[in-house]
Amino acid sequence: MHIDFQNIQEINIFEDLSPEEIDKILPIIHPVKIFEGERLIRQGDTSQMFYIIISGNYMIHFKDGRAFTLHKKGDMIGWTTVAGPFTYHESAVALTDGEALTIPVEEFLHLMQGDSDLGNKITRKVTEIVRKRIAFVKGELTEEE
Amino acid sequence: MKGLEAITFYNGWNISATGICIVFTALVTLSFIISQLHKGLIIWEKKDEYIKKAGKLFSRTKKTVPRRKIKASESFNESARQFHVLIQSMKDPFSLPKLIMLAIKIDLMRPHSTVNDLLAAGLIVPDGKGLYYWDHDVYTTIFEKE
Repeated sequence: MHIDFQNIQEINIFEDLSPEEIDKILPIIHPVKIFEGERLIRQGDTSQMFYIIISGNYMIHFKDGRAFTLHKKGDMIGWTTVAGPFTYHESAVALTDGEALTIPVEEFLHLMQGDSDLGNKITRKVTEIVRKRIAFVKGELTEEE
Repeated sequence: MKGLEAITFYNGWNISATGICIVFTALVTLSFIISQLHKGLIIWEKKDEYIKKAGKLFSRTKKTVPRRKIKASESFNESARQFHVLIQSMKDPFSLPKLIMLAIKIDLMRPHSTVNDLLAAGLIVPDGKGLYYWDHDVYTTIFEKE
């Protein structure tokens, strides 16, 4: 899968970035092929990277057995990584073959710390995603506690 | 004893007041009925429509099943049957990851993509709280077609 400026700007989390900012982020984005049944992340593991969906269907699930599915281009898997603490709060498995972008957490945070504008723009987008999913995660934490 | 004295003695005033009340009540009731008569006539004219509406109110509401285009290949139907049996062994609503885990344990073919197909077909439906249920109406629809 080829990754270029056009592809990146179509993704929700990066749509506010300027061409210069996208140039900065491109080197740390790695496209990967994902296979049906592949486990992407496991709840409780130390987070090393997060995923941005390009294609395919994915199931996000929690230790208490609850789950939801993701399939939209630009949906994030392992987003809690960006907000910290650096462990995954959910598990994710691919229901179908697909493609995704992986971003190493350490390099991503380093980039955000080095460029406050870029950091702010991405944080704003991540907050939008967090707001949509927070009710679900809150419920999950409450049940576990 | 004559005149007003006699009227008072034999409760004439009370009887008169009662009579007046009865007559006025009757007149008010009658005038109200007459004033509403046109509505009654409208209802009479549209009685069939109203009977149907009343029937709907008292009949048990049945969930309408939206018709979906379902991939009804033989392998899909077989998978649906297998998962249906599996789900029956779980409590309702059930956990999707637990369903996949069970399917893997009993060696069902391609459990992940099958679950994905069942979700797409509307056979497995999210309950909005992270759990899922099996839509028996859709399942019946699929197998009625066979």
